[in-house]
Amino acid sequence: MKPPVKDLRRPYISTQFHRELIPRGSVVETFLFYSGQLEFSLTDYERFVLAHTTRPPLHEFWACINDDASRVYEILTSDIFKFDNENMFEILQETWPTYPNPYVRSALFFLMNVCSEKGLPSSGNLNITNFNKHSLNRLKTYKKPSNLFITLDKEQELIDSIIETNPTDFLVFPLPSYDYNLFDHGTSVGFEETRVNHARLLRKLSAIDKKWIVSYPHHEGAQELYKGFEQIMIDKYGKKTNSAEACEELIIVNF
Amino acid sequence: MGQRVNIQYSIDIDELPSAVATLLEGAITDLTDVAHDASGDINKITVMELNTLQEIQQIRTNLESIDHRLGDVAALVNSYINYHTNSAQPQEQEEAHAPEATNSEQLFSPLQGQTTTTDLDNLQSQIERFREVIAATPEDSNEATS
Repeated sequence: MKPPVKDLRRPYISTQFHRELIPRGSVVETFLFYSGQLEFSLTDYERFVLAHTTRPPLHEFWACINDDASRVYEILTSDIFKFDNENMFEILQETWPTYPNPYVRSALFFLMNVCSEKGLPSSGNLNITNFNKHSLNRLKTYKKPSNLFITLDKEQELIDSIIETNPTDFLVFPLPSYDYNLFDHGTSVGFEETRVNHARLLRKLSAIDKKWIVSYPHHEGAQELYKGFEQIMIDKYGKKTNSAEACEELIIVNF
Repeated sequence: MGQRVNIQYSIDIDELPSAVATLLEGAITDLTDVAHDASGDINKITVMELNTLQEIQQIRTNLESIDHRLGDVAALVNSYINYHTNSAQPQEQEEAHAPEATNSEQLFSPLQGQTTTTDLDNLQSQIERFREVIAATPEDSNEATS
């Protein structure tokens, strides 16, 4: 099943390769849960996924559609929910979390996700063509997989969500991007985003005695940071490549 | 600006759009008046006098009053949207859901629920059930090509 929302910050072409690394029947913890593109590809093929997020708006969206996706669909298709201009889109990017009803907020989350060129409700330019029958139908027919459990962590730092003693087989980190964390204090992130300190994540993972998989959109900085670990470059067809130029996604594993 | 008070009276739900439109029109008309009154010639010689401060204060007071009224209109429209989105659901299903948040401090509280001990017990039993099902079913040989 395809999830109803998308993450356009990074490609998800290594999903099949993740399944080759994670045997059927495994229990997997994923972090920075957002669109579920990787998680659903695992649950579809008989892996149990415990997905972590630290962002309440994201958790609420998934809780609402897991509870009653048709209710969110009804709101989006009702007469009072007309949406047709750029000015309104920009206002909603700043105000959507302030709407009092959680199902309305979830409808707005969906709307802003599919209409944002970045796939982020709080940023990106308007592209209304993706808000169509097809995207709405994916929401209408959505059913939560029985082998997916989504948890909201109170910790603001990603690394604090990592509990080594959890009874799981793999830790998986599909990171949206790599940066050098030079301007973290001068930039803001959207309601739905989590800031990641990549060096601190690596330090935490290095001290863990558990199998983990980290993936990034291809970035030389990430390759340099994880020097000494097994690195696998994936091309646009989802296959292994030795060419950095052809590399779209970088996967790093400790096993 | 004088002290503001909340007043309350009821009208038929069908009359609400018209009442809200009247409120909004009033606020926008006043906004136009404020802009019009403020758009006179500004004298470079006398602008740095006390009179200017008084005029600016008057404009700001008027804008504050308009802002309050626009806030009231926004709250009414939000309530109307809430009413419609809730009334689409059957009553018993509605009661099963958590109550709605009413202010920004409560945002995300109804469904966010920090994962509780009960949830973790549920998770444990889900994982056990999952392992049992996997052990009892043969592997799908087509997985790698899907």
